[in-house]
Amino acid sequence: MKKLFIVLSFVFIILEANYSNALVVEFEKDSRLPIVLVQVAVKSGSVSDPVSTPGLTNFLTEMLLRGTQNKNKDQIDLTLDQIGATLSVSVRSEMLYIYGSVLSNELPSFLDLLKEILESPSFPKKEMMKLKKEIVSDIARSRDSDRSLVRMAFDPFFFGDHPYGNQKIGTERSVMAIKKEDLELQYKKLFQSNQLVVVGSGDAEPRTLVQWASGLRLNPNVKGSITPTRTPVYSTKKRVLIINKPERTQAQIMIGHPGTSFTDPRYYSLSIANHIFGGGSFSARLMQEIRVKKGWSYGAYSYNRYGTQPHSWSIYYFPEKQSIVASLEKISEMLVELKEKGVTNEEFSFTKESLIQSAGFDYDTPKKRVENALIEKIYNLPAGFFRNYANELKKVDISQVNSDLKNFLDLNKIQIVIVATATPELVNGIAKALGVSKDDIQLKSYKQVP
Amino acid sequence: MKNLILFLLLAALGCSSVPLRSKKEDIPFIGSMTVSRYRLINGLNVLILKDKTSPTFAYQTWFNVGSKDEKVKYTGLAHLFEHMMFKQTKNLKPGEYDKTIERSGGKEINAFTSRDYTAYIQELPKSELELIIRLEAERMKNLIVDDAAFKTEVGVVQNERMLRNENSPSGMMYQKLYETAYKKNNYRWPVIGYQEDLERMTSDDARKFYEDYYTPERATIVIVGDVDPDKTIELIYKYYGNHSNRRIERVPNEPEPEQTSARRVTLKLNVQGEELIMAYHVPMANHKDSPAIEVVQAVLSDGQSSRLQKSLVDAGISTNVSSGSFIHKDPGLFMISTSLQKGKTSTIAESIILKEIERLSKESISLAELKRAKNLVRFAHYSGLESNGSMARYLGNSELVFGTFEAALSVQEKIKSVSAEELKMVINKYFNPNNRVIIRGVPKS
Repeated sequence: MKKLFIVLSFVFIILEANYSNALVVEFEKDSRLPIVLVQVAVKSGSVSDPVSTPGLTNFLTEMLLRGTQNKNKDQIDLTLDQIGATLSVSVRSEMLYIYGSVLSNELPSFLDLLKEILESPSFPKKEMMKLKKEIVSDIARSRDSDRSLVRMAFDPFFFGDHPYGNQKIGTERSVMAIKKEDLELQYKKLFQSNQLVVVGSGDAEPRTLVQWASGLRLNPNVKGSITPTRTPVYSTKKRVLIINKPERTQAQIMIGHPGTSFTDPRYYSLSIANHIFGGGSFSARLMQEIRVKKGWSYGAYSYNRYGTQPHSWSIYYFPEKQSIVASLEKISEMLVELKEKGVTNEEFSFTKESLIQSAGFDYDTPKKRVENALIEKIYNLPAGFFRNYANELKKVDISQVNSDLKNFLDLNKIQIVIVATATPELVNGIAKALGVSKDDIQLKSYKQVP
Repeated sequence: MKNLILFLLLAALGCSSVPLRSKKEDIPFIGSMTVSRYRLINGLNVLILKDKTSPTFAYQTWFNVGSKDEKVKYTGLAHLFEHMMFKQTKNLKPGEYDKTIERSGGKEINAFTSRDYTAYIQELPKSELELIIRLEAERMKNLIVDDAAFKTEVGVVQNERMLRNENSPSGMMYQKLYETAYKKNNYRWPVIGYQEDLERMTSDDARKFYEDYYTPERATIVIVGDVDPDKTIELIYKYYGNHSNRRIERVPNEPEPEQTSARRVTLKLNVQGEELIMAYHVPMANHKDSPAIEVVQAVLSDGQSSRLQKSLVDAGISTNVSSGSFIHKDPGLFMISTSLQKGKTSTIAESIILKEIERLSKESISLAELKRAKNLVRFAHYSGLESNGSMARYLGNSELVFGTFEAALSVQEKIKSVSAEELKMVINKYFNPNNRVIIRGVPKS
């Protein structure tokens, strides 16, 4: 047995502080390069969009960088550029975050600006109008890329009216309807100090970030202002959505199955099973069958997505148009085999060893370590959850993997989204390959997505 | 030369197993970091940067061969061959290379091909140093190009081509840009090659390519992470030391004649909004004007307060804008690309960009704007060096494109002293109409 791969981080100071207002700060010093990274995350994201206004949280987060009570967008932009810094925002289902990097000698100016952005956004109407036009154009542009298109169509189709199905960026109509009052309400709801997590790494003293975070004055904490995400109810019938786009020589395909959560007891065994089936490795079954043996697609992968609730387990690949039907048939067979026969001893021992040996790469840099801490806080996971991954994997045996696979996989629940040029022959072929009736195949023009 | 004579002497004395190298050279990198450079007698170039931040290391092998080394009707061979390097060797069965690295905890097992080079990259736990050196030395020397595997891989690359070019509007536009900007130089064809050429190639072509180009004197190994340089180089000697140098006559890439008038192409694409790429020919990476050209990029589009960000995005014309030099070994291209907002045309964007360039050619920029631009360049330089993998990539790319990584670092150093006058000079020298190529992408319907 090879020596276990354990990261030693003696050279770094890790400082974590919990304040009475529940704001959490974690910073790891790393003086190799003269830059500092700071991330401020809020424990909610697009799931908190009102049903009538998908895209509101994304819009709000973008607007934070477009004006404060004392600075307009031009002044914010100029300040950032003058000090050699970047500041960006991103929204996920259950998290939004503002992240930036700065040359370390300019950290104080950067933190002053970030504080102002977080505490006193002004949502100027002129900037709202500009942002609306930008987002509407971005939505249109996403349709130009087949990869974006399949991803954009997948969540709403798979999750239906559950908040995980919310279109993060919104729709043309919902974005255009956003009002300043909507932003002010959403800001009060999300930017409360008990929902914030601050992490950082780089060439600075930990106390600098701790002092800064403790001085943040946000909205009063209101208990229950964010509703916990409800458990998704998945379709019990296999369904297909074909996004019809002309002149495609290649298809983009996503196959979704109900997923698990980080805290599911099957998390570790199913993570091994996923790796064997298609989890990014060249030796995985999907890569071997779809790419290496058949040459149908440049890549074929399976992956888990996680949230506070069970999310999804998906397969993604992009075959040439002539191989769409054959590849769907093959993957259907592979899924049946995975459920019925499970994984082999050889696959199990190889994958377990590989995952244990490589687990250290999940926390081999200061940036990754503080990001892990951030995810642990956001998803209410125990501290060290990710660092403990290898130790937990060691406890898993093959019988557990195969029995968990049997009760996890329900092949009637898979949902398939395909971007392709739809012809009657293709629709018939897909119906046959997947064993669904034509009534269970929806056709939609790419112009109707989202 | 001295080393060669010494090597021959020792070999004649039956001491060929004694490793020989040029004197180890320690070169300052960034902060307190130092890179050790070694060159083996067979021409292999090795860079080692010790960094104990984590008990891991990045291992990268950069070959001085890219699509520029291909011949007409054989476009795409360098990239297709890159795929074959993951197949089998004399001592590794099909699939064994990947499996062995994965089992040992290796990550980021990948490769990429550019116009100038091909690189193979991995990251591993520190205990696996000898393993990766053995595997990489094996596939540099003993690769087997199997006919059936070659045929399957042609299909995979054709599929990749559909993904990156045929079904990607931006892929189509960049392909057209290089075809339009270069008429003689081999940079003119896409790295992934043309469909008809991919169909024409045989496994014999791949074998010949391997013989000709995968030689020690065309390779640079870069190792960054928790390794001891002196012990590492002993292992390198052990596994690569007996690789002979299959030196071939180099065919220089034909120089591109000076462009004498503007070139313009409009593509009708499956897009919702218009797209624009504007490019200018610029000199090779280590030219004396390169530092000033980097600052021009920052002035035009780096950061939210840059000139084009304000005049295109903030003004409601575009959804995004970016610019930058695609620096190559031979003279490259400075590109400005922008996606238009719904209902806006690329001709409007073009006139705005030209107006900004004209302003820069006539008016000196303020010291504050110059400082801002330099700060952003400095920041971008450091932020691209956060991990073992990214540092190795910087070193490898710099060695291959600039000649040495020190040359790339000196460009960063020279940026500090670029003046407003120098900016005006490079704008007038390179950003003129005769040197310009414009590619517009417009909706089909």
